[in-house]
Amino acid sequence: MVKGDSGMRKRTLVRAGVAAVTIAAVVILASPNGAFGQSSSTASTSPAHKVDFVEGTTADIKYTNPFTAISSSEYEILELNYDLLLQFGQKDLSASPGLAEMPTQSADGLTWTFKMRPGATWQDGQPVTSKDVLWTYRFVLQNDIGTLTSYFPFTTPDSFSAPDDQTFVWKTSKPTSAPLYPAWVYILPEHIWSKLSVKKASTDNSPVFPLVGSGAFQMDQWNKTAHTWSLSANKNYWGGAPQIDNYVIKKYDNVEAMVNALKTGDIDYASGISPDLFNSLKGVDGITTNAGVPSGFANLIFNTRGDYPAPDSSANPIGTGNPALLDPRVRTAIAMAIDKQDLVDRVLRGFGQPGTSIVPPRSAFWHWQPTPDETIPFDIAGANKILDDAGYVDTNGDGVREMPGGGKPLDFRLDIESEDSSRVRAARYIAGYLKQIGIQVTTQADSYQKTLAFWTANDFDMYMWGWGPDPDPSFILSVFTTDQCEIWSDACWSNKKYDQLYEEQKSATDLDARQKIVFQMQQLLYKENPEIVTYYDDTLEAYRSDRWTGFRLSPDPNGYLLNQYTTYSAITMHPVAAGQANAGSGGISTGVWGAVLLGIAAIIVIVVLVRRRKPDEERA
Amino acid sequence: MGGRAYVLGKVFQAFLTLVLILIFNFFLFRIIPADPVKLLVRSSGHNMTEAQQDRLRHDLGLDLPVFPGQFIAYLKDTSRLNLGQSLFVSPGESVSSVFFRNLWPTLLLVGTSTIASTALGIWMGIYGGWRRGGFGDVSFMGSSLVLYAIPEFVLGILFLLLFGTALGWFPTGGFQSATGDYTGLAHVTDVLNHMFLPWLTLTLAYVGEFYLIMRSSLLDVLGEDYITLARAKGLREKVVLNKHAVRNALLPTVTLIALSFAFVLGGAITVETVFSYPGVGYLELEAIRSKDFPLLEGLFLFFAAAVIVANLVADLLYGYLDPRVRTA
Repeated sequence: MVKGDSGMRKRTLVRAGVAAVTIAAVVILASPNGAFGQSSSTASTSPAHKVDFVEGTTADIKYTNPFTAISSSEYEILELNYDLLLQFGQKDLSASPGLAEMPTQSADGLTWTFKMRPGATWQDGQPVTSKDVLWTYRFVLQNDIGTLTSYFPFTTPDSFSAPDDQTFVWKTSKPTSAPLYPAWVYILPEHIWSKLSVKKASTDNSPVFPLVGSGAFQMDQWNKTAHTWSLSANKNYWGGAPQIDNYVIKKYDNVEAMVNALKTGDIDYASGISPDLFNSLKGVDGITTNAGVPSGFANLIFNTRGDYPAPDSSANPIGTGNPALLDPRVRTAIAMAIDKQDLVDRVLRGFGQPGTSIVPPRSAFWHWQPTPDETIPFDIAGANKILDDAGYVDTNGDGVREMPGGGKPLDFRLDIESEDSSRVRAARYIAGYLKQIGIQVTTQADSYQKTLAFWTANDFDMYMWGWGPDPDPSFILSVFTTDQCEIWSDACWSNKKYDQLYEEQKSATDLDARQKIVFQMQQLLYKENPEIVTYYDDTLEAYRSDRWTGFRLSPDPNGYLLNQYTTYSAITMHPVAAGQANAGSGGISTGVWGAVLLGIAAIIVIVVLVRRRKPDEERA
Repeated sequence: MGGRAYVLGKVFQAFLTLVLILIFNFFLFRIIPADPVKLLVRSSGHNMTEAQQDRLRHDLGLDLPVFPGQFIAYLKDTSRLNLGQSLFVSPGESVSSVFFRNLWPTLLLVGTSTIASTALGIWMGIYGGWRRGGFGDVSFMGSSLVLYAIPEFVLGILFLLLFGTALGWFPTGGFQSATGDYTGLAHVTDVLNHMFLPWLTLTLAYVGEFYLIMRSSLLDVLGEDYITLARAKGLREKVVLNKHAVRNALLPTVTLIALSFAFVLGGAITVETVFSYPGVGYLELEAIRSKDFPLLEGLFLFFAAAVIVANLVADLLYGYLDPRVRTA
């Protein structure tokens, strides 16, 4: 059969059309205004000479609302965009002037008066006044905002007042040093936030960009496709104009990809690097590494809940915890059997310290270390003796001890989060140590959410966790109080003496007096072992030193390049040489891509034309 | 059975399957033992009282009995395409909005690579089948078997290490550069550069599949009597191939192509993850990791619907391409 000429032409046109549409679709879809270029940007196109700094992170940013933010990356955005009334000092993270000067305290110790910093403005040009502080602090207390309320002991919403725009007064019903913690609550502009409903202000997660704060940077873009968050510099910042134009945070799926991007120059800085990858960066041209003092700890938690019911409990108050773990002697024996130095050497590759207390060494003034007499030594024989003496013996010869009287074996489940490779490795070593004292450990690696589910249902014997507490110890100390069962408490441990000491430290007005109580609390936890602080891991970060310089460590010495709770470095860092900074990823040029696409189009057209010229007979 | 009855029958079957999936999808996510509210409270760090938690449970409709209360609400909402809100991946955002945001990059990547691997695979299959045992056939067979056998994420990691890290020719991941307000052609180039390595991985990984099917199906057809007849009529070899052999040999490939395009919607979980490419596959993994039930439920529904529709299209195309199917 021979097709007519019109049919042939029609087919040719269809083919050419398909080719044209395909190419056009790719170009249009990838254009910034096309479907793929979507972002919530309000920034205009910037000239090429702008200086961008790109930080890599693996912690996702989901909330930019200061009342709902929780992760370290979220707090980083807040610290760049907003200010505290008093900020963390560069040297030792103690309270130092922020939006206000250092306060004066009345003779009875109950009234603190702050003078606002003159000339500080919101990023929309309005002045920052004491009314903004008043609105923010009252909102936190009136609406019981999560953990933020713990910064305001002995206060009610009426404890705060603003007699004039430059003066803020904070009263307490008991003497306290709380205003000097300092309160880690970012001050928000009343003229914007007071217009929102309470529900929207306290829970909303659809921010309007640019975010208006008073900080050194202003977030103006959240690109959910590229997983980037961009902040532009606030050149009018009261603390000095940043020397860069844009601060960009890019999320990576895993540490390997992030470190790779640092090596290839896609990003300028990375933190939260694992020890092995950190080692691989040493000696790499153009990259400088920094191991900062530990700001957090990893711990091994025991189910010590027993029959203690939480006030709001929906979980089983008894739970499925092994009863042997309610015996402090068993917990002490476990603490003695864990070789913490070995964990530091093998899991952290030496980048850390053996753990002792829940206040990490970064908070040097509050961090307690046991005296040699108090130290629970690594001593397998000693641990075995404690268990023997307490009547936990192996009666059936299977290598696992049983409860006194030949009951339940000491066979403990250990839950770990599978995403955390350090904890997974540590769990394996811990199982090995405990085998030597006749305790069987069955490790189980699960997702973060599943680990939480076991915790909620009180369905565990032991689990591994970690904390990165505030510079001030108040919050992390509160975690172990009875009130925190089913909220923040790791294991619902309940100790009246500890609870009482917690209240006492709140009302200690003298720093030294408070330090004494804070030490006592850490000592009590160390002795009772409701959980064991296994190690403190160094904060491992690295940056492109071939492009960047001018960082100011905080704390100093042994501090961090960035992510400092403040913006010291973010303001002072600058490119090594002008025009040398911008991170860039590899790739081929527009010209080459154009040639490739045109080439493909040309081939399609040629094929179509050649086929068209063939005599009809061949097409039959 | 006539043509119309055939079409109606197929459409009805597809609809029935969709309804069954809808029901299954609902109960699948209700038998997972986890209280979303408790998870939300601990991960968001909110100091919620039991009353506040109850209010949240009410807002989420979790205070109703699973059956019939929650089920009816689910059917109502789904019929209005309201799939709820994401809990953890993008808290507070609607499931459809999260899905469609990730769909575009996936369509660009997986869609174009499926077109490329289909076209290339079919062409190679025709060439290999026609010149069976020739140099081209042997080398295509060897290379496509190797590429088909290597798991796609391994291939992806190899490309990433070679072209991304070692040679630095292409970006190591993501959809676009973190900095630089690229606009116009610069943006297109940036996106193409980021897309190239995952695109190459997917294209090469799937070429083998199309090649093997097309080749064996062509070989079957070439043994048929009507091919001998066509040759006996004195038609040129090329005409025999293009008009008589390839046309018939394409039939089995149609199903494969239709299903491949259905899976475009599901993204490429492993390759997207290796390259941190923000598509649907990547989203799926994130939703599973964080136990974002409403999002997972929505994603499952989208994927199931895509597969059903693609199957329907394949069935209907079959009926059009091969009249025997319609009347059977």
